[in-house]
Amino acid sequence: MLSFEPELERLRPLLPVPTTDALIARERREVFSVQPEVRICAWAGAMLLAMAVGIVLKNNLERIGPLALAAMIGAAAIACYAFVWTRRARPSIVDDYILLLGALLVSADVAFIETQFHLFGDHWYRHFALLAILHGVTAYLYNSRTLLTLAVVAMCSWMGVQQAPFPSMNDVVETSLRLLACLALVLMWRFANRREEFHPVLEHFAFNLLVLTPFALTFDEGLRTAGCLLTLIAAGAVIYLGFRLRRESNVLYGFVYGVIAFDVLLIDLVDSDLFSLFLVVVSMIGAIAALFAIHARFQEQSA
Amino acid sequence: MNVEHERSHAVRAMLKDEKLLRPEIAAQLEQPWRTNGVIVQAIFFVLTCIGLGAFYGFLSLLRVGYPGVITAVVAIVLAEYLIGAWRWYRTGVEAALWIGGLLAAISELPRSGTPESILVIAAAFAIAGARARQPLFGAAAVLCIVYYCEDRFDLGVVAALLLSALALLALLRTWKRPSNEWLLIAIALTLPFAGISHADREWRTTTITLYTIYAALAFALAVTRRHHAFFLAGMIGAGIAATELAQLLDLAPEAPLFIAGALLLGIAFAVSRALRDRTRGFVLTPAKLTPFDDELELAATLAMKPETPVEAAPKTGGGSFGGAGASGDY
Repeated sequence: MLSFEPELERLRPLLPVPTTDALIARERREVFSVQPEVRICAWAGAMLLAMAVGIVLKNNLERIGPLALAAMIGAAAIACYAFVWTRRARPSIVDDYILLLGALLVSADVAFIETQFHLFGDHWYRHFALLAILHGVTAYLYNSRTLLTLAVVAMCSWMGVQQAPFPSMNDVVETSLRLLACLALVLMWRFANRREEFHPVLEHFAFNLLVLTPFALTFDEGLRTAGCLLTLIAAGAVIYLGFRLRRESNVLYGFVYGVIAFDVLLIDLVDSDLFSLFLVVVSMIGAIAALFAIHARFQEQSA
Repeated sequence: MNVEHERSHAVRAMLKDEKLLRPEIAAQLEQPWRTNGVIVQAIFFVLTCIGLGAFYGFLSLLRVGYPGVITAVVAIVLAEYLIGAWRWYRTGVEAALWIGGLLAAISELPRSGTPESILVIAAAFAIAGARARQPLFGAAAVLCIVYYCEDRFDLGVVAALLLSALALLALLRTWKRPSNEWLLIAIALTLPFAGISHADREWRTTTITLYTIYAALAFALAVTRRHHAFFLAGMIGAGIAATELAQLLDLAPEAPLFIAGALLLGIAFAVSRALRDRTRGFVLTPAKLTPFDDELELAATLAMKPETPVEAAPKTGGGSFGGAGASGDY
């Protein structure tokens, strides 16, 4: 077992006394937080229960009946929300996961009701919009970033963007336009949002959509060059905004998207396996050098 | 990187997480190595592996003799240059160069097809792990040994749990090098999964018993010696034993999920109530296992959220509906 007590003792003159004492108590394991373990337990419990409900909906339709099933799941979801609401004066770490369970139950229930009763008819995909609104409203009511993420994902599904990107590429232009529509909605949400702690989640989605919108075009042979060039511009914008917001994760994935677009462009332009491989070697060396420079600059800026 | 530098690096990371790393403290923890955080390391590792793979492919297309050996020499010389002259340590690049180089060299060896060949790969991971002080490579080497035990002696589960239990016991010792501790943690947490992938159906009762014993040992150590790795190992062992038990019992498919889910939420709730106002011993103050716990949890939630695969609306041919409303196919 590691103990950094000697180092902390050495640093005692430079650190506030209560902080040093607290850190040393932690190193000696006189104080040991099991919060990560409790979080894992609660998260796994919520996910397993939601999975079980999914199986119940699938296997017990004829035995229990759609109306009773929908009512039961709905009641369970409301119970989860109500339980957390009543405890909001003195919340515990487990409440977040009961809320997550409630949201997953609502999602399953709304999807189930739509497939059984066809409330939206031909416009069945509108149930995603309903889910986006429900999760969005509850995210603000309960101040939950997890629910906000579910809301944004549901909104993207409403726009026809699947969670797993690009499983089928029948019409890349349409996919790109759908991504653009998602980007517009997320950006509107970001600028309308007044809750500071939700900004990073919305910005994360916006930045990814900003790069994925032109990147989708690279899957079409005729639009590949334009798609790569636009992706490079978008990646540059994400890196710039990452620096502005002092968020290194944005800089990093902007860079990774940029490297992919650059290599796709090179390989597409060069009609030789040998030269393509040579270019990949050179571009990777360049990418590593550039990333080192970007990373170092970011560290300097943050210091 | 010597022990002092490694410890200084770890203390800096700890104080940075606590937002306590001021310039005067950083000056006390000076170490001459250039290092990266985990995510940046992973990106550099992948970029270097792609570059090295392309270099190998380039040499092969040029029909140069022994492309694997040439790649290995270039990669290892470059890695040593970066470590020695540029003081790169845990950047992701030197680790990728070492393991990529050794695996490229192995690709030139004649294929024997014997179970012992996996030990050559184990040796490559062990050498690269020891040089780059990369715990995941060390764990990969031990995984290869478990694979060998399964292939040669049909004892994959036993070997995995035995080595994993030894890693847990070794964690009781006070280690000076953080990388040694991380190696033991990586072994203790990954090997139980490797073991279960080798479990035979006819030995299911024995498997459950072995994993229960492993979980009991881990939880006992966790309570007495207070280490997150013991708790996590116990949870993994208990989870695998419970999954196997559910397959042994003839229950409706949703029943084990309901029981396990309710049990886990119940335990979490009970523990959070019991420890609510405690300030000594076991507490519930905010703590993290990694710098990106929240992001990992969100990603896992989105990846694992249950689907509701029921039939689509008539006429439209609609699509399938997603659990969190996120997987509609058009």
